[in-house]
Parts: sequence; C-alpha cells; structure tokens
Amino acid sequence: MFDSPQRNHPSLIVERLFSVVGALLILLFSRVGDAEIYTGRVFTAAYWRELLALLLQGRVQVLFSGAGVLLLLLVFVFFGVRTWKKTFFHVADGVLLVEKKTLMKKQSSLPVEHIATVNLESNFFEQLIGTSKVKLDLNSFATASATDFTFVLKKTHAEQFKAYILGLKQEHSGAQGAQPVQAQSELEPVIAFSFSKVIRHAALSITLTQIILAVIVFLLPFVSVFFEEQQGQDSLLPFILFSIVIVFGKGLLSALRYARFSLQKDERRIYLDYGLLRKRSYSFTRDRINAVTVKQPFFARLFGLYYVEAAVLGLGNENNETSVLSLLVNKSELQSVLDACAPGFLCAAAVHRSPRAALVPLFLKAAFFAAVGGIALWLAFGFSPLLFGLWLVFCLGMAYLSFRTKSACYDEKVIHFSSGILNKKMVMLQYADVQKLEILQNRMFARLRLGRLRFHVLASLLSSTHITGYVAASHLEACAEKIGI
Amino acid sequence: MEYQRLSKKALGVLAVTAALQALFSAGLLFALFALAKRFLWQGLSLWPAGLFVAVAALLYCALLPPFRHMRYRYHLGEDRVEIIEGAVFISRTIVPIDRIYQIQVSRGPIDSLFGVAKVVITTGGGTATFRFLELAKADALGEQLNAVVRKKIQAGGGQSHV
Repeated sequence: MFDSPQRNHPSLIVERLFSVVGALLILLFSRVGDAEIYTGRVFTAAYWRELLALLLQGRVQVLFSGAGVLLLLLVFVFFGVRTWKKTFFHVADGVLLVEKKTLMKKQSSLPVEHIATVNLESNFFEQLIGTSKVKLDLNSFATASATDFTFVLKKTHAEQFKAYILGLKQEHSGAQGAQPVQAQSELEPVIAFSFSKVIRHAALSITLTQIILAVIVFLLPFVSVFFEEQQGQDSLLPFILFSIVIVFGKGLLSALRYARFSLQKDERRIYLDYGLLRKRSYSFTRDRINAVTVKQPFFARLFGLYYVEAAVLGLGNENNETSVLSLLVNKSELQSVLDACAPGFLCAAAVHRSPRAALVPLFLKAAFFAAVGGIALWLAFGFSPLLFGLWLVFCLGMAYLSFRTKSACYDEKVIHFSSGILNKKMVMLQYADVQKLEILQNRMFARLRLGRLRFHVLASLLSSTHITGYVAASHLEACAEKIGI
Repeated sequence: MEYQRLSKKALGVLAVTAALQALFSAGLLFALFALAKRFLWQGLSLWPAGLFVAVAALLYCALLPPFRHMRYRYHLGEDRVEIIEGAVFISRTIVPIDRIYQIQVSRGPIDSLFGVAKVVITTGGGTATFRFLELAKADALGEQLNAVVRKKIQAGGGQSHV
C-alpha cells in the first residue's frame, strides 16, 4: 500500500491554512460595510479594473477592502490546494521518498534505518474527522528541535503506516532477525493514570513562582486602595480572576494534555499514550533514551511524589510537546517505572555531597547578587541598612542551601547528579550516551580543586545539555576517563 | 597526555578578534552611558565614562589575546579528542572519537588574512571546534581525524554510537 506514491489527507489543507484563512475571514466579515460583496458587483470585470486603477494610484488600502481580502483568501487557498496536490510520499526498497513538485521542487530520500522514532498524534480537529498525524524523527542533532517529517492520513492508514515503517526498520536493522511488530494485546502495562491522578499531577506541579505571581496580582488592588483610595469593590473581580487563571490555567491545560496517560512496554520498545484534545502516541526502543530526569516540584515533595522525563529524540520536540515518561508517582511506583523503562540508568554507588570548597564560589555569586540587588533596592526605596541586611542574608542563605542540596554518584557506567532547593531534580546519564563533555574551571576552581561538568546528549534542545554542581577535581578526571567506554 | 599548542600566527587572529569585540562592546557601553545621561542622570559627564570605556577596551585588547593563546591546547588521541580553551573561564571539551559523525575544515575572512583555519567536529550532542590552526595543520588534522574515526568504526564492526 505504501510502495506507491501517496498524498496526505486533504484535511491537511485546512489545518495548514487554518490560522491564515481564519484571520482573513475575520477581516472579511468585519468589512460588512463593503457592499460590493453582497450586491454581486465583485463578480464584474469593471469592478476589478477600478480596483487595479486605485492600486496603481498608490491607494494600497483597497487591499483591505472586502474584495481585497476575498482575493487574498482565494490566493492562499489556491496555493494550499496546489501544495497538497503536488506532495507525495512512498517507500521503495527500504527508502522513504518524499517529493514536493511545487515551485520549489524538493525530493528527500531517507533510508528507513535512519528513522529513530515513529509517533502518532491527533489534535481535536483530527479526532473529529478521523485522521491522525504520523511524525518521523531522525537520529540527528541538527533537526532535534522539530519533527523531521509529518504526514496526515486517515487514522487506520496512519496506524498501518507506522506499523509498516517499524516492520521495515526491524527487517533492515537485522539485529534480532525479522520479528513482527508486537500487537497491542501483547504489550505489558507499566503504569496508567486515572483522571484523578492526572488532576493530582496538574495540581501538585504548580510552581511556587505561579503562586507568588498570583498572590502579587491578587494583592495589587488592595495596595492601590490603601495608597490611592480610588479603586471600588467591583474592580477587584478582574484581579481575582486573573490570579485564578495564573494558578489554575496552566494546571487545567496540563490535565487536558495528560488525560488517559498510559505507559506500556514489550521486549524492546516503550509505548506512551496520552491526551484528550490532542492525542499523542509515542513508541521508541529503550536504547533511544539518552538521559532520564526524575523531578519533584515543591508541592509534590510534600507528598513524596516524583515524575520522570526522558531525553529521547522525537519526544519533546516542538514547543507544545513534553518529554514526560511518567506523571507523579510514589517511590515504589517510580522504581517500577525506572526498572521497566530505564534499567541501565540505575546507580547503586555511594552518594557524594558537594565538597566544602564549593561554598567559596557560591558565596561569591551570592555577594554579587546581593550587591546588584542592594543597588536596585537603594534606587527604589532609598538607603536602608535593614532592607539590605535582609537581602544579603537571603542571598547567602540560598547559596548555602544550594550547596547542601547538590550531590552526585558515579559508577562505571552511569552518573547521577541532583540539585534544587525547592524543586528537586535528579539527572541520570550513561557515559556511553554522552556525545560531548565539557569540564568547566578557572584559576580559582583549580586552586580549590573544583570544577563543573556539562554533558551533551542526543535529544531535543530543551533536554540535550545537563550541567552538574561543583564537584571535586578527582571526580572530573574519573568522568573524563569513562566517556567513550 | 601530550597537548599541542597554537602557532604565533594565531596571535594575530586573536588580536583582531579581540579588537572587533572591544570596539563593538565599547560602542554599546558608550551608547548606554549616553542614554543614561539623556533619560536618568542629566548631570552625568560623558568624558570620564568615555575614558573608562576606552581604557577597558585597550586593556581587553592587550591582555586577552596572549592569555587565550597561552591557554589554548588540544590533543588528538586514539579514543578521544580534547580542546582546552578560555582566558578567565577555562573549558576542557572531551569528545569520544566514535561520537564524531562529521568533520569540517573552514575559515572566515579574518582567518584567511592570517593563514589560519578551524576544524569543526560534529557529534550528536553538538559541535567542538579546533580554532586558530595554521591552514596546513588544519587540513592535516582533518585528515588525521577522518582516518582515526574510520579506523574506529571499522574496528567496532561498522557501528556508529551516534
């Protein structure tokens, strides 16, 4: 079926042009005073000759008349349909061929073995009309922050295409012989989240920054009332509503994004499905995981809950995607998820805290921020030793807490490092997945026998770089030796 | 481990680069002072500010290039490459040979003026660059890297770890 040239589903035209056509339609309907659309004069040649004459006189504003907008709309729709009609894809001899025969001719050929991940996604519109996007990603840093190829097909065809590509990959890789792609019923469930648990994740992932911002917005009118005595009771409502939106808006979007979250696995692959308005279905082999991050937002820490992110090419590419592997779970569930999905990332070695010498650069940084903040406070509120003292104590306190909360552990294959005063985070890396390592030092660090490590792995931009806290110089050398093993 | 250093030619490139950076930064800083005088402190005198910016730029041009030249070292081994660079903040970049999937030798207009080039190695996690190498040395390094990478891939059964 996919060895002959195929087109995308025609609904792709609507999706691609939705925002442009929508904006133009709004503009068109706003021009209700332009009678030429309604009297049919727009369909006469004389009308268009007059329009052209006005344009040649330099009266460009006619383009924003109802007829001008209608013309633009038709042009966009024409080119949208033409692009759809002239774009084909098919698979021949294990190579995916994508051809665009528009004004800018383009032919891409991609051996199936170079496809790293094949994922499905359906937004609200696609769910309504029964289509699905197939998203293909290459194992390439150059295109890590965007999906490499996207095709829109009917839902059943999309699933068939995904199975076809995965089957071809297995055949061509030859690693374990030709094995059929596992049917959904043979998959082993790892963890699934009910709607209440999704709500729990959304609620406990609210950050302190959001809470503080919401409180500031909520308190603003009271401050105004105190100083200006001009705000009436009824003007409080927008501020209250805005505060609620800040706190709960992101949480609601998060709940919709992760509804029906389920994680399954078979012998080689991990399968991730989630989404209500925009359904996403990801699958990738375990060896595509290049880093694992276990996170504990502040409120989740109070309940002993963790969530897991994975640095996988194809997961968390675009701005509206995320690399979450598991929502908030307790410690035993976390261990099950890690055992099932990332057993090679576990480390049983002893934990090393930051060396005491790390206090020096941290306190120096704190002193710098205290000085800058002190100048800002002086300009805003005038000279106040108490205010500056409080700010200095705060900066030094945060520096000490930063020192106390950083740690690392290493064995022959894996390194873990954790950080975070309020929101805790632990990054797990395998040395074999590290593409580049930077050891960061200066003369002061060298004298204190300290340094920091910056690891680069193959993943989208947001999860490709990981930096440790200050570690002892002996550990820097030990890590440098293990890279590449 | 034996590290190689840069030739004297690289000093010229470093000096020109530092001068351009200093010129741009000085211009920006002076513009900020002028804006501050216009909108915040009308009493601010631009002469001391201009003098401060000029002295800072001169010190930058005089001190940074020799420091960077002195610090810059690189090593090409059988299993990895290392680049140590930086003046105040020193960065030591380590790239395992089997992570390299592209090697590129390139030079800009300032590089061409002084007869130097850079070798850019691309991995799945980003790039690492050998800078300020003499042209012949850059070409030789590119070929040497290519040979080492090919040898490693063949020894590993044709498998890349990217």
